[in-house]
Amino acid sequence: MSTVIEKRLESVTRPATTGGPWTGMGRGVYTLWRKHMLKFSRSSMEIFGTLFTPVLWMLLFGLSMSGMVREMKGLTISINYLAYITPGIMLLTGLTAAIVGGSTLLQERTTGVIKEYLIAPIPRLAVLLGTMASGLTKAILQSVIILALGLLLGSGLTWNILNILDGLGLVLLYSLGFVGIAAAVASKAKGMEGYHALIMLLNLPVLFLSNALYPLDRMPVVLAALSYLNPTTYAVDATRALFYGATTEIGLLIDVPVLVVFAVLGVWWGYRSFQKSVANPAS
Amino acid sequence: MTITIEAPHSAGQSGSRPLAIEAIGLTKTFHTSAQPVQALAGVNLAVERGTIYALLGPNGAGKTTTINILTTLILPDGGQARVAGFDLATDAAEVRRLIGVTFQETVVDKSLSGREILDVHGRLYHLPKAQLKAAIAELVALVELEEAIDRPVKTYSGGMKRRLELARGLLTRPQVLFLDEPTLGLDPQNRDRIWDYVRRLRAEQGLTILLTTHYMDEAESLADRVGIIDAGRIVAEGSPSALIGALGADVITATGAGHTAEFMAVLRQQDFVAWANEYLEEGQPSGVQIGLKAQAGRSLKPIVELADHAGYDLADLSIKRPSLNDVFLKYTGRRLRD
Repeated sequence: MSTVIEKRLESVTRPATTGGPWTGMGRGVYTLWRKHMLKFSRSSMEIFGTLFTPVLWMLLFGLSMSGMVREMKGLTISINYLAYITPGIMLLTGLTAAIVGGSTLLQERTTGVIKEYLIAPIPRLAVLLGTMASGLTKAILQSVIILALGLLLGSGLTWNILNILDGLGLVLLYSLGFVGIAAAVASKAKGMEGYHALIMLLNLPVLFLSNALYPLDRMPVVLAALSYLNPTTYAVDATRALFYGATTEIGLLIDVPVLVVFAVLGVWWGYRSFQKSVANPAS
Repeated sequence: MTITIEAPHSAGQSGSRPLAIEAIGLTKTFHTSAQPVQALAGVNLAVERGTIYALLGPNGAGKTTTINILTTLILPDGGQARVAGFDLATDAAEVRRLIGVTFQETVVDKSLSGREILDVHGRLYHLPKAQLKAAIAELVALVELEEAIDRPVKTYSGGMKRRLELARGLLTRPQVLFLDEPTLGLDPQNRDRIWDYVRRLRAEQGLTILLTTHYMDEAESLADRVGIIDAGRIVAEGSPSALIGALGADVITATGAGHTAEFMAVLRQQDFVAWANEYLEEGQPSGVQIGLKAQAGRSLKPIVELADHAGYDLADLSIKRPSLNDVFLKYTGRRLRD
């Protein structure tokens, strides 16, 4: 008799019923982040696929252009060319990682894995935040790899720890914007193909319609104007100064607020689209 | 309107067991880009604690929508429901802690091992580490996955994935377990295993189980009660034996074409015929189902003569003890294809 009662009590007071909404949020975000990182560590496709193009840029374009640029007159480049392009390539890596990371959400949505999370005792927002957290982690990890590769190839670094941390903070903001965009598209996309077309679509304009490879004052006016609409331009301007001590073309006072706004808008769009998609996850 | 075979279900009033699931008038319409689709048109459910209830119906009848609502995945447009004693509308968080679910499609991450998938699930539900470890060991033994549990799920067969999902659904020691088409696409051997687990769970742990299926034999052999769902409504409900018993002694299925209405009219005048209905197959008139009275005796010959007389071309005629198949045919006018 008493064992029956104990069993009843156990089922009523078991730990899953303890804790308010915030512990549920923290637990959910951490569990999903951890799971995504575990999957990431097993997916050589995701790791090398993201790094492949940037590494090629660094090795082929960076090294060969360094020699040429040294001989060109009148360029407003205050640092060596490898250091000059590393911020752009690093940000491209962050962007690609953010978008590839967002495909985790799409994959979990289309396979139905997301349903397991949606009926678990965690807030639904935790599913989005966990996905964003893992996407951001992947973006930062892989950006740092490109930064280190640049160092190996001779880009140098300012070695000012505060500047480096500030720079990484801006890489984080920039990636966060794209993590949000990725979450938005992943919440709407019907399948993987369309989603991967997005990476291809963003990749080249992000590099060429910005100051990533050449200074703004050397670009045709139309392209320069378009470059000012590209958040990459501001992120490159700021990180180039923070990591390598280059003179800025725009200035941190403009770069930082622009990146903050970009990150907020990206996350907001991701949030809105995600909320809509989970309202009717079955359809 | 639901036809309830046996005494009307009035739990609480007549002192029967408390209800683990009760739903009143659940409605749901999906607004697709083409046109609104009414998935549920007022579903009523009452499932007693410790019983197995099978929702039986064809694809698109509303089975999965019912499960999705009862498991808090989606909200109904109208109606009310309580699961494990908590209201879905106001206490969804409590409901979530007390239920286990396996979805119709297999939802497991292929790059993770079985143990990792169970571990993630336990963490989402905040099970303490020691309890989680013990629960995993116990359930892996139940579903006989001891050898495969540390392998990546991509090496699992369909049946193994299903069993893993069942273990996942049970990991948090739910009071109510929802199984959406638990044996869909499984070979007979794995089907038998799943059936065996389900029976044991009910017998040993007193678990309440709501399962959906479109396999007649599954509903017939597993369920204490069966609800036949069609076009978003439960059209008949009762224990399998009561549902079958209500059809009468024997059922004759006549296929053919011709003056169906006349044929049925004369059939209904015969004193050995309890009822006669036309049924469709793939939307086309296909035949007539005839329920015989207990003392019908030799009835095939008169039926052949009646068909002839009414201008109905008989193609085939079969007589057998009724099964759930015939129950389904009677209430929906359609055959359920396996």
